[in-house]
Amino acid sequence: MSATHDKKLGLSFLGQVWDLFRIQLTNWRWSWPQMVLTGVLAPLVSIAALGLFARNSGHAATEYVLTGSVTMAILFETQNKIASNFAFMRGNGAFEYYAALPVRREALIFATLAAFSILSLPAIAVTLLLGSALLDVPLTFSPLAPLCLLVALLPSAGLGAFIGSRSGTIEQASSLSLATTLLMMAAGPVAVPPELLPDALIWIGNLNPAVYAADSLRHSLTAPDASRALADMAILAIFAGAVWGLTSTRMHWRARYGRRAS
Amino acid sequence: MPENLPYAYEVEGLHKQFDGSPRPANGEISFHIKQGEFFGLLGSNGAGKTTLIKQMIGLVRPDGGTVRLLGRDVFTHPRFTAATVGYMPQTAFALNSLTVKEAVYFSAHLRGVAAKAARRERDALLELLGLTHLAGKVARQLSGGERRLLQIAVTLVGSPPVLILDEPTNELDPSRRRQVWQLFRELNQRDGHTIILITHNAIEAEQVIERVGILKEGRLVALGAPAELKSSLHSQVRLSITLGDAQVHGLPDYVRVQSEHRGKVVALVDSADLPHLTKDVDLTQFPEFTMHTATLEDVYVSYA
Repeated sequence: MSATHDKKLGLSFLGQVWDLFRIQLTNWRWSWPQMVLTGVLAPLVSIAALGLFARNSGHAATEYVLTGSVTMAILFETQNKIASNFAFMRGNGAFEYYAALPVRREALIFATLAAFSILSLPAIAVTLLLGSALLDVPLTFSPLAPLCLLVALLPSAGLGAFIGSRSGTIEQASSLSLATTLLMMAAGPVAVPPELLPDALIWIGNLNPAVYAADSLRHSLTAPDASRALADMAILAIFAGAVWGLTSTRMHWRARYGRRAS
Repeated sequence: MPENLPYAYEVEGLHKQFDGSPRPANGEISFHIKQGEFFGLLGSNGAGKTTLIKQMIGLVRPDGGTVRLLGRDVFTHPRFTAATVGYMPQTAFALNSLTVKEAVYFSAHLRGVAAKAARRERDALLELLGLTHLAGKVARQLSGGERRLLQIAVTLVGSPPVLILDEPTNELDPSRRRQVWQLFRELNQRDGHTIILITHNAIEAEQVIERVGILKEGRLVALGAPAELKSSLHSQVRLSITLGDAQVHGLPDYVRVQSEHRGKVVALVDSADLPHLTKDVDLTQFPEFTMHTATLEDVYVSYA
């Protein structure tokens, strides 16, 4: 037995992320089709319902419905799923298991984000393609689209991680995250054009990352505008940084003297 | 232990009280564990064992006191602590959605074992624990005992020099228990692993541990080799009685009943009272009656 065990302090940070990413994907190997189905359902219902009214309000309105519905798919597939997953991991001792290994909490957060982002892609693609066909909105892919999609995922994934890691039970995390999703969809011009909303909701929308996510998708998928897409992404990155920072400091992990109660 | 080797663990004045709790979960606990020692931690439910262990691996912060692992503070060297200690919790298995071989492989790899070596070590451990035929099975489909063996494999893989095992033989059948105790004995004696065992089962623990600490209401009330602690009860004798048609309240007052279950009674008697016992009680009325010196379990019960 080594007295200090210095030579083997675990994997590099990227190695940890890669292993944890594979563990997360492996966990869902049998149930991902159900995930896609549930992730597609709400956005398609939204497209069908809002699309009826949007058709009479012009092309811009149908674009809002389409990108708003894709944003809804992102919220359902990342925020809600990550919130449930983190609450589940907290409840079944996975946080304790990983914290007792030479693994950083940031690695677990990144790996979970990456895994759920991959898992959300089918639902996002189905919503986008079916929505485009149903609403008759032509897609014009900008080269910025993949980046916009990734940055649009970040704040909602972070919010899901924060809700899940702080919730006592999986039920609590699911309901809180669902309520947040519905609020984010309603607060501001996400799926409805600003012209059809009261001023108060438009103002509140300035604080809602879903508004910027939907905007960035619109500016990269249906009405390409690189400068506005980049501006949206910058704001989304600030939201993401804040929420990921909050999650990584507030998530229960190893104890440190610096965080000792007085 | 050679003088120049640091202790495996140095716990000094450890104190922890959770918000809203009327008493400390751990109150001013101090003890040392030598490298290569097989140390037992006994205590009833709520005695503070899990809180103590979680502080020893840096998962719960103490309100006061220090914990040093191989000479390093566990809270300022979290990565070193995590790489050095293999912790097997008593709670549910965290990797239930993975197959047996995936769970062991990933645990080894995350501990820093190279991929090829991790696969080799995984296969050897599964063979050793009789899990090879279950390698492709998902953990949540295993029986309780099989899952416990998997947890043992996950804890041992990567060969961390310090092992902390919380009730490792729960749910195992008697032959598996014997196999697992033999494995722990070999890991300790042959490979030099420091093992800290948390258990309620003092009788099984007595077979392997060198020293024991007994926790009661968050305080360390006894610490020493089992023989030393038992010597405090030398003036007492342990009786194991199968009552048959007799009643437990028919026993004299100086027979202190410690447990009674399905007609089987365990009791302690001062050796000075033994001559009276043979006069006061017709021992032939019991289908089974044995008498021997105090065990570690008696020590445990006397403090509990």
